[in-house]
Amino acid sequence: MLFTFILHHYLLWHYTKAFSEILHVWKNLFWFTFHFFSLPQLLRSYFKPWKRITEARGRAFNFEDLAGFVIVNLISRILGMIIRTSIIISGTLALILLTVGIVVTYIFWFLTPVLLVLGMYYGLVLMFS
Amino acid sequence: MYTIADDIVRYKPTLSLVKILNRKTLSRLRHFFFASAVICTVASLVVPALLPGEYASLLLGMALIFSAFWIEQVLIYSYHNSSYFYGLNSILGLDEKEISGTTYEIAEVLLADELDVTKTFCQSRIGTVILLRSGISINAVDTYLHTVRPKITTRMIPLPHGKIFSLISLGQYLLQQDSSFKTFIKEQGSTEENFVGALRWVVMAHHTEKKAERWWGKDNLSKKERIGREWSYGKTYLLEKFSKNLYTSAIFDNLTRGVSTFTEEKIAEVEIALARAKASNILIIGEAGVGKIDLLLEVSRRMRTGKSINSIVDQHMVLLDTNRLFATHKGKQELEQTLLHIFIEATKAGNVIIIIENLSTFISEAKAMGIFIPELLDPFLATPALHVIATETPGAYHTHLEPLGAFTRRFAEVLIDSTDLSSTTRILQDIALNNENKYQVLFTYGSLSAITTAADRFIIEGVMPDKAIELLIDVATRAQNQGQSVISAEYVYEVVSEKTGIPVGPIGEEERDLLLNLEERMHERVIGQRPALEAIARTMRRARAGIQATDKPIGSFLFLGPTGVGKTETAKALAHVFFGNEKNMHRIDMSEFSDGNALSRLIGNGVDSGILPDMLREHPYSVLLLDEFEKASKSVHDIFLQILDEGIFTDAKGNKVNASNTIIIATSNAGSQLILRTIAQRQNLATLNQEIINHIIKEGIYRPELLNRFDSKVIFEPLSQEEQGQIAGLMLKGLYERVKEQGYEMSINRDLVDILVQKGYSPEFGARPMQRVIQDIIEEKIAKKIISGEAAKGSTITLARADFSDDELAT
Repeated sequence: MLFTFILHHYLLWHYTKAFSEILHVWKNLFWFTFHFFSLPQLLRSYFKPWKRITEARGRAFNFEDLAGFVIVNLISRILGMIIRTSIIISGTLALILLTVGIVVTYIFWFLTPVLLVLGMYYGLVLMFS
Repeated sequence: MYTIADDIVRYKPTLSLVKILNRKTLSRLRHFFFASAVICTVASLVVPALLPGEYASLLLGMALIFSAFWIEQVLIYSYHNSSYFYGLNSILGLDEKEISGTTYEIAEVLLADELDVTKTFCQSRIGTVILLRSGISINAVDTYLHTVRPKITTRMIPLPHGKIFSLISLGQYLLQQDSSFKTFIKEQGSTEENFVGALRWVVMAHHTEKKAERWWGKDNLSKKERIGREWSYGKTYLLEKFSKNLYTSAIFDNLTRGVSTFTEEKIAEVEIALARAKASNILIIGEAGVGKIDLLLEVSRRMRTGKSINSIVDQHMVLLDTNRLFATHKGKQELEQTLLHIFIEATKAGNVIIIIENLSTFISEAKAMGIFIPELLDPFLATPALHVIATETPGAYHTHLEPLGAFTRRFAEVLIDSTDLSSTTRILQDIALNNENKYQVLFTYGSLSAITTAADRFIIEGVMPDKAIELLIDVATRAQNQGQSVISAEYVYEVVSEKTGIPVGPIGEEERDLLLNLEERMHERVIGQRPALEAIARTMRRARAGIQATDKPIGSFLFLGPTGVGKTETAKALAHVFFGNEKNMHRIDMSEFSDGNALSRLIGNGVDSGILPDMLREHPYSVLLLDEFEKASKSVHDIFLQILDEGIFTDAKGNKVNASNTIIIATSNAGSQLILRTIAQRQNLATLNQEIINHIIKEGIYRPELLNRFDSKVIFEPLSQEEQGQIAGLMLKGLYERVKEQGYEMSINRDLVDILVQKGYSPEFGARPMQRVIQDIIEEKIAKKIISGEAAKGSTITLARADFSDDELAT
């Protein structure tokens, strides 16, 4: 009696309110991922030198100085771009995965009661086969 | 009407579920099934290479079953969470969305017995803790619940619309609607305020614990540090070498839970100052212990988690380790170079906020090595690429930084005051919870309120909340040593009384007796002056009953009257009765403070500290006697306007000096002539009180605003013939004791008393010359008798009128 009472309420929750609750958690995770990978900051500073590592230029024109300035700057910026690109790609991938994840979660959630029964059934079959 | 009963029904399935298996067991099962599923899956993949094929299918079957159980447990966990966390954001103030309904805890408590809400609340786990923290014993609750009383059912409680009905709402409802419950709380010596305070404390602590369980909540997720946030900024290798971590005393942890607007305001003030385009440096001014670094820690935390305003979100705070700087550099040049290097590096980095604690100490230590910091730092303070935040106490700020003018103007000032009383009690709630296990004690809400009040009122050293926290730890340690397990307000007051020597808290039997008979007790030492003693006693009773303003001295009196009528003796008696010893009376001769630089000698001049701050700091719990007050200069009178009104003043060094635990007595001869004339005309002094005051004002001796600041203006009248005799008797008794100590007896007869009164009392100087008469004439006679051998050891020395010559008797 108690079991059917709980089961009834559970199934009602599973197919109604649970969907909005999953969406709520997903929104939080999406927000977190977006901020964790600092995507807006990394895009804004995409071309900036890595940790401000640059070579200072002397006041008077000197070819050696200029060459040093250009090379160090270029290397620093390229290094920065490479590392930032890797994080931006990781972050974007994480966001895509999350977006795919919510669809998969919804489908999985919809089917879980059936999957549970199937899992049990095939588990027993395999064990005693 | 939609009632609580209609709402809590929806929790029945989840509550029935955890009755079978509680949340902890459910979590353990979930972890067990997950681990088993993983192990079986891995094993099913590995085993075929080692064992026959049927084992692999057995393991795969087991993996499937464990996975199914794990998923089932995840579903149950999610299902339970749905109810368990309902309304949590709303209660903690994290969400402004309006939602209605009861919380999980309400259903958990009330579904046990819906027909007697008060009983089920009191007997619940959380209700029991609330009552214990309200200072009510479990046995008393048990007895109360067995009495015949009107019962409240869940059907009688309407569900409010648009807000969550939590245990706090239930407790408050019971207090309002269940009169027997309200009476019971009062009968137990608790108060409504204590009950509601304990209710909020326990319920909010419970919900805060729950918040930590919800890892997917925005508040918990935002605690993770973001990656890549510092990649566009430079590294500061040297600064890192000379820096240390920001630390906390956990003050702001409490205040930033959305309960104190003070902190939000201060955080905003710091953030806005940092966001300024030019000279965005800050000087945080506040007494030691108010939480200056805690405030910065909170701003830093907001930056790290992306909550601060956008333009400073990438900034990074570094606390300069000045001790290490000075310890590792011996020469001026070396130190100067390192400092320059540090600041250039930080400027280049572009996102550094350097924090310098106690700026004036840093400046003076550098000065000792020949470096003038204001000049060195000036170019860096002007650039927007670097921010400097310095902290300082108000005293050091006024003395050392204000004179630096232009340098100080580079900083925006942020003033931090001590936390107010309610915020302090809130801070103590967390500190108490964190320390209860360590000291094996339980704090009641009343004890925390008492700690806050007592620390504010009676602990002179330090500032709030620091001194309240220290007092809490002190109380907990003593309680543990004395085997006291529940700390009540009374116990706190007992500890404070022991520490300070002044009676605080509820009035005990002995003290009640003392207060009710204060006049009599003082009368044992002071002859006559009954109306004066009565006026003093009335004021002191009012002060002790707590109905007097708390931010004033315990008592303040202006004693008016001729010399030698007992004004000083009354002050001594008050010190003896109130602070246990007449040595607790400290005297300042105000006639010495009548010239031009009187004020600087009294309160200090920035270099030397003054006599008044020193006296009040060394003896905060005492009687302060200001002799011949009328002779002090106007500026001195002005400072007493503030002391008498607020119980606090600022010395020349800018430090606050507390006089709220002092009894201030100013004595004055002003109006003596009028008093003497009044007595001579045989008029009643009491009816002429106002006339005397008016006379003093008219003569310009005291200004009316100063006179009005005194709690009581007490008029001492000249002594009557009989009283003069009593004083003479008292003085001769003193002489008798001294003679007896030398091994002789002495008879005090009528002749001696008469001679003393006749020669020693004058309307102008009162009884003061009596002491001189004893010394010059009577002691002289006794000495002669002893030295000449006329009086043998053990014999009685008797002096009669015949022993004195006419000259000696002449007045």
